[in-house]
Amino acid sequence: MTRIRIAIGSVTYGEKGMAVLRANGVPVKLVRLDPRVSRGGCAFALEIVGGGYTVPAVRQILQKSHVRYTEILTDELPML
Amino acid sequence: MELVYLDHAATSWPKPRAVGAAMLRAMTEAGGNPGRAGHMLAMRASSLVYGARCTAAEFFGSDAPENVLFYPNATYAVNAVLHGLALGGKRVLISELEHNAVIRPLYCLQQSAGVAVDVYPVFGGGDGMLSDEEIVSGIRARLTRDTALVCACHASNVCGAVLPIRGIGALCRAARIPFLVDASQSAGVYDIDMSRDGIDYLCTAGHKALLGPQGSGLLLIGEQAQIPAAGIQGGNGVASLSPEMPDFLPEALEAGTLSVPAIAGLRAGIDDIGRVGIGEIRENCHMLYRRLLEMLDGLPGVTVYRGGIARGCVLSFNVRNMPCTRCAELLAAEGICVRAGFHCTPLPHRAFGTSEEGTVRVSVGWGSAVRDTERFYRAMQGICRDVR
Repeated sequence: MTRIRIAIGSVTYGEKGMAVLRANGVPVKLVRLDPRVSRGGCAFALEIVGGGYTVPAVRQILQKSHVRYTEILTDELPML
Repeated sequence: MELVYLDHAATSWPKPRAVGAAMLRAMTEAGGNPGRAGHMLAMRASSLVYGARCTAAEFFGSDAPENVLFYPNATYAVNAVLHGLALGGKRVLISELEHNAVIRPLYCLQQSAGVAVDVYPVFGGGDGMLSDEEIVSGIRARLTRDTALVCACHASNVCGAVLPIRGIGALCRAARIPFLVDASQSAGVYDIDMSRDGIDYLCTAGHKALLGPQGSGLLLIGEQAQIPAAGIQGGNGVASLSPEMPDFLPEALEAGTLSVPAIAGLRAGIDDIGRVGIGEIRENCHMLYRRLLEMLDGLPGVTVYRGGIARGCVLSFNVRNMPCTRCAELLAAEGICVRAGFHCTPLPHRAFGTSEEGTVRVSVGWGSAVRDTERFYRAMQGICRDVR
């Protein structure tokens, strides 16, 4: 299952991003990001698991609403 | 004895029940530190704070909740702007209504950074106040090439004066000069729209007509406005490995732990204004203001200091041959809460000629009623009975 994580510097943009993505029907959680992954330490991530969402689509939603993010990470989670 | 509270310009009281309830809920159910951890209590706190930013943004006509900053009070908000805008060697215009929250940091900047401060007139004219057009003209006449900021205290905390911020904002926009509004006495009573009114920096107390608790204040920054440099640096849960404050709002200007209970209470206060209707609140305040004015005008030995009839929620007066503090003391003995002195605002006293004696200040707000003015009047009749 594809996992998309949008690294966000601040919880404020995390909350904003979550509101915007959910308003667009994207099931998303706001989680803490592994400090080894985030640049500069201490960050949050908007996490989308499965659902067939693509990075370009998610990026477009966020950019349209001026949600600042650091980077978008993807990886594959094993199916349970 | 039931209290009659006529000191809303200092802080509103009582608060709507929902305010205390929201604060308690914040402490018991969202007691984590927002933006610091990913556990339930921290995330609930984060969500609560973000929700309050959204509420405040919508209330003041902003599309950017991230441009809403929480401070302990309006004074911190004003200082964040004035000390963060690199005003050294430049000129700032202020009105005759400004509170020490604006005057004192500017005085400090005059001494330390060579900031020039020019005062535009507000008082004069038939009812004690210049017309809106005269006020805007007075500002226009004082604009120079090195004017870096115009400040306006929207509503006075000493008298009934209310400034034409829309007209001032339009002038500042045309002249490309940033515009700071101190809305401590007006937010929650008058409609304020950042975009419509051309406001770059809106500073306000949360604990007055916005009905929030003490310890709450707001700074809203216009979307095109320059972000002031951070005057206070510290941790805020963002990029902890960097020694620099973040360069984006709100965390660029918020350091340390936010007061989540105060923010929750402020949000509940703003929600209550929406429930009652800001127009209803304003009309009630104006009606009571006119009643108080009429009552005081009819009492022997009382001087009311005019600053715009029926424009505000605050009026100042004195009783002949009686120190203002003595009058306030006599009213307090009757359970009537007012303030006496200079009200942290020196300039109107120069206009009124009360720079030595100060004034008694009466201010109405949410929850003030006709019966309050009637008890006040009866008490004042007793106080003025023996006036010579």
